Amino acid sequence: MKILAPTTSVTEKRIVIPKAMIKILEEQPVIVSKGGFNGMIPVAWEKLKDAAAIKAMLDSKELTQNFELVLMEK
Amino acid sequence: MPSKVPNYAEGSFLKNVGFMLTYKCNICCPHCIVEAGPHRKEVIDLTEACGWIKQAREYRGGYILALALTGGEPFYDMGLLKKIAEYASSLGFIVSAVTNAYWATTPQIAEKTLEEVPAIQVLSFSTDPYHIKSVPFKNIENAIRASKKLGRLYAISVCTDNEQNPQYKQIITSLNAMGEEANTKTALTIPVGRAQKYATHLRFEYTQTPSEGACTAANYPVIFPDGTVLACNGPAIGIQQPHPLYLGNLRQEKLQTILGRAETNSYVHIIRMWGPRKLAQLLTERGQEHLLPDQFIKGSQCDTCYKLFTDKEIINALNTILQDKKIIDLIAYGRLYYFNEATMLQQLNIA
Repeated sequence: MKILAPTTSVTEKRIVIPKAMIKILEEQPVIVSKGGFNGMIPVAWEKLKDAAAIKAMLDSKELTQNFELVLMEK
Repeated sequence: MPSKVPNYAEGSFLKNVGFMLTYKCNICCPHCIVEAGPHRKEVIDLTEACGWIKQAREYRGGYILALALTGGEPFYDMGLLKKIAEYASSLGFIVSAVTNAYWATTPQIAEKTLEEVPAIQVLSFSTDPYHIKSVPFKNIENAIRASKKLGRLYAISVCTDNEQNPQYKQIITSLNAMGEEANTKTALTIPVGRAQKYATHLRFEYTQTPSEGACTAANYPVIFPDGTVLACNGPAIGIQQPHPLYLGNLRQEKLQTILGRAETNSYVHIIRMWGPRKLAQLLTERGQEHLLPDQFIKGSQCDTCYKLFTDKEIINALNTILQDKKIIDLIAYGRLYYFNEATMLQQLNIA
């Protein structure tokens, strides 16, 4: 398997994640926590992203990096 | 057929940076991890702050998008708050601030106060069983309504040592009655700073294993008035420096250098991906389980970090473990796989 990343005009570099590494990573997935302490960092980034009032501003700054990683069969 | 990589945890490392403007606050809450209060003297220097904000703007060609102004109570010195917020906004940052809303004594004053700081587009209101002893819930209501009227984004942060606390439950009930459930976030009190001194009054639940889950707070480093840069605004504050979450000091190095180094800080990225529990697991896997504390606060990653990073033996053991290239590769590839972040792979020439 290959991971193609990112392939926009900003970055053309391809990075290959070894198949064995993907297997290891999938065995220890990221678990999004409900808890944590970010009360003093005012607003979760997710909230900023979803806020319609500033979405256009964020889009213009390419927050989402405008690409996605895709697993490809060799 | 191609399949998509997991996309639920989009990376946002360094997109938002905290600025701790002041240790001054109108009140002295018993749970305050920075031990803020009216007696504190430390305030960020305006000239220095603007220099650091400019560095933040220039970092990787505008990579950082938002500044979070915190304290202490940022509204305690409106002059300073206005100048810093306006400067940051003029450079194109999305500016947010956290406040206990002590200033929102009436609907009119709340609105007038927010009108004075148009550069602050996002607000976080702190209310909880501790704050409410000095700042009535009515202030929060006024601040919320003023924010709505003026089109400011806002969230409400409620801190408690135990979700069964009757005062906490009352606050949540009141917020829900206002239709604010989606904007409300609960955080567990951390026994750090003043909270540690009053820890006997706290009613935590404990477990023998660290709490599970990635830590989003470690996405956002925080700059302090003395130039210190920490990886988060949580337990790192209460740990004697240097420690794994201490990133550097802006009076000694440029922000670019400090944040560039943070890109390859294995501790920070393990915490972001798997939470501090992973560090405890690594110790166990390498036969160092005996170093681990006997108990952890249930549901608090901050407690795990604090306990791990205040123990020199644990840090020494982890420093050795984290030199293992297999683990470094795992972290670097994990950041790409889970967060779409290639920086660590590139900086370490792994891929």
